[in-house]
Amino acid sequence: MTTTLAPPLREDTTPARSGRRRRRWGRPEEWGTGLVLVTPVVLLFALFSAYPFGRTVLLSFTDWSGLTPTFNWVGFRNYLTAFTDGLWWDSVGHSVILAALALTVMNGISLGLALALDRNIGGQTFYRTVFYLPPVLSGIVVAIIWKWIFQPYGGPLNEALGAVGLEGHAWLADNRTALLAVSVASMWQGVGMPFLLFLAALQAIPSDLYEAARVDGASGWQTFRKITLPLLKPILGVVSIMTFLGAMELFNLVMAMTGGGPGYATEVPVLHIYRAAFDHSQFGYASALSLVFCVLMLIVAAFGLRLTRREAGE
Amino acid sequence: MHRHSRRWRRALTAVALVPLLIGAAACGTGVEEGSTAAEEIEFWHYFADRKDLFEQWARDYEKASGVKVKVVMSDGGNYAQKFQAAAQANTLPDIMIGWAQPGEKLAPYATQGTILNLKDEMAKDGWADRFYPSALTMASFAEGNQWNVPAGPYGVPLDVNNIQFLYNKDLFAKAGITEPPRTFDDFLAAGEKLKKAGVVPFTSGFGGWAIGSLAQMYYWSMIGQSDLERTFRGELAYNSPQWLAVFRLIDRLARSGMLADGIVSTDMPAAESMFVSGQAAMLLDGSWAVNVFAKQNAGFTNYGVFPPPVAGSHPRKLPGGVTTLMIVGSSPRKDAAVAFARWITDTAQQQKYVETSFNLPAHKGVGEGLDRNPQLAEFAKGNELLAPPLATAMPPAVNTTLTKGLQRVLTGDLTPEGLAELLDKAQKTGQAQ
Repeated sequence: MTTTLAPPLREDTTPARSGRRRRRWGRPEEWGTGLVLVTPVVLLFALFSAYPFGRTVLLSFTDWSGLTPTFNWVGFRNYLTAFTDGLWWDSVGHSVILAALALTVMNGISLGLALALDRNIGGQTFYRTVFYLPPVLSGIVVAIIWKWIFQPYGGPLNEALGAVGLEGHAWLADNRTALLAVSVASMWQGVGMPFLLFLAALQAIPSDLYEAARVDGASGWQTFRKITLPLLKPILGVVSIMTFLGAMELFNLVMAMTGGGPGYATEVPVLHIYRAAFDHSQFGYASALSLVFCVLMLIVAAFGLRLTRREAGE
Repeated sequence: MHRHSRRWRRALTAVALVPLLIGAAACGTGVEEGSTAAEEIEFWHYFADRKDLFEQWARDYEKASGVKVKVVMSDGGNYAQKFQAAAQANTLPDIMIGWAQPGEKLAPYATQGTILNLKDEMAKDGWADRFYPSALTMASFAEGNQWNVPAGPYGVPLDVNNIQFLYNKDLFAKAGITEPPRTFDDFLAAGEKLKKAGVVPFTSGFGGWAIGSLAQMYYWSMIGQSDLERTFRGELAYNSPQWLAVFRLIDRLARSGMLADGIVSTDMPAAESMFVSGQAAMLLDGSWAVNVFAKQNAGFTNYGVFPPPVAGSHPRKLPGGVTTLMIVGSSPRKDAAVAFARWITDTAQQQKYVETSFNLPAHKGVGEGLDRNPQLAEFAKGNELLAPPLATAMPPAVNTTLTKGLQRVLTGDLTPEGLAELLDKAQKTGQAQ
């Protein structure tokens, strides 16, 4: 005798699933309107996102130079080259350093500034405007400003050092300081955005929590550690992901400040991709590098989001 | 029901509008078919300083020939991309200022006939004879070139530039130097004297293209054309004695202490500012610098120009370029475009061009005005020394390796032998090192 263990799911679940489907898909008579409304968005997405992405995937398996209408299929050769391209991984390493500095130093400064301005001091609007000015400047303008500041002859930084009896330095021409100098410029430009986000998050914390802590005799540090920081965790996660991705995608600032030099001391991934495509006419290889970079970024973003959700208790 | 159908009508109207709007936008960017009669040609350029002259030419040419010229100025930064996009979309103009020298980037368009080979046209009525031979060579694909492009000029030369050394006569006098250096040893000795006089001896934009130009000067004079072509074809290694001698020469320059601090991160405008403000005694720069200095500081005139100090036994060659007019070969109005190019390059128009652009003329009959500027006259002497395009060019990835590698040699991060090794690897793999 054979016993069937499977429960009669079909009869039991069909009405419920059908109901869910109705809720998800709506009434059939509304489908036409929905289709009409969604079509332009789908078309635009297909034209400006899906097609270029698909085309990049396709080109990454070719030797297309970007100059000729024809190309040859090369299989995974571009990907193999990417994995053995030392300069590429060096450039990724440089970006990781830039991101690490931005995550710690820049976000630390942003948080400090936000905490200072959260204390109802005068001239808040003025400070907010001042701190938010650098992010709205073009990267090229920021590069010009900081190139001038770091200039070996007559640059304000060396002049200031000279005024206190210290020797000047060719900051952007020295392998040991060039990346740090680029990082300073990048952080100066980037500090405003996390500052505003932190300030908004701080101002959303109910003041009665702080009053309760004060009544209980908590010190400033204890209040920060036990109330402010835990309540800032969701925004900290978002800011960290944005900072990391922003630092990894740095391009115009580096291009205008150092061109990736001296040598390759400040080369970053997007500059490396640009060079492969436009200087070396290796669009196929540049496409493969773009996709490798995209996957790296997706992994980091997914990891960051997961961490943020866990912290938020989802 | 009525409300329902009205909603449908609105939605359908919205959907119909999308392609209409896209279509309208697309029409706005292209050349309208049928609107351009045989009597109208389109001319693209990216020179803001020559915009008025080109528009004046268009008006004068219409009066002279009845052919209307539509002048379109584009952003220089995106000019090459604009050409490439227009070539794909078949919306190129009839005539345009060239966006690249004959080489890898121009080769596919020359092969396809998108850019017209002017060999036959230039042979008619002695048109080619109007130009300095070196200018015409710079605008031509060489015989037997690596891209298999039929040899010949693919551009009409408008002006030329070359790169040489400039020196501040006052600072030279301060250091007790009476004449510009002739040999590389003289050059280093001058640097020593200038340093002793408390002057920064030499600057340039070695953060960019200028370091490659310095190398180019010396690989021509120390290696020579035949071995250069062998190297670029992969038949002669970069660790050969000839190439190592070039890299060691640049290493000597780096170790001499005569280079301005931070030269490997200095761009040309910053280097020009140093020179024009008397902070540095020598500068490696192009002939256009004369115009830059005139605008930055009209009072700064006591400077001279000298060719690369001699090293090596091969003929001296100067890096440089040529500004060209390209005729679009796929244009149905290419004959009208050629006629316009002929008119532009007659003596009267070229005299106006030189006076407006302050550039060195490509036209042999136009020299008036150059004598008034001794520095331009010195640069003009270099016109016949321009390094010609080779049948086989240095591969782009090797070129990047050379530029980046030389920067590292200057900072002491790489030896000449190390650079040679990287270049051989780049030549072999096709990847920059």
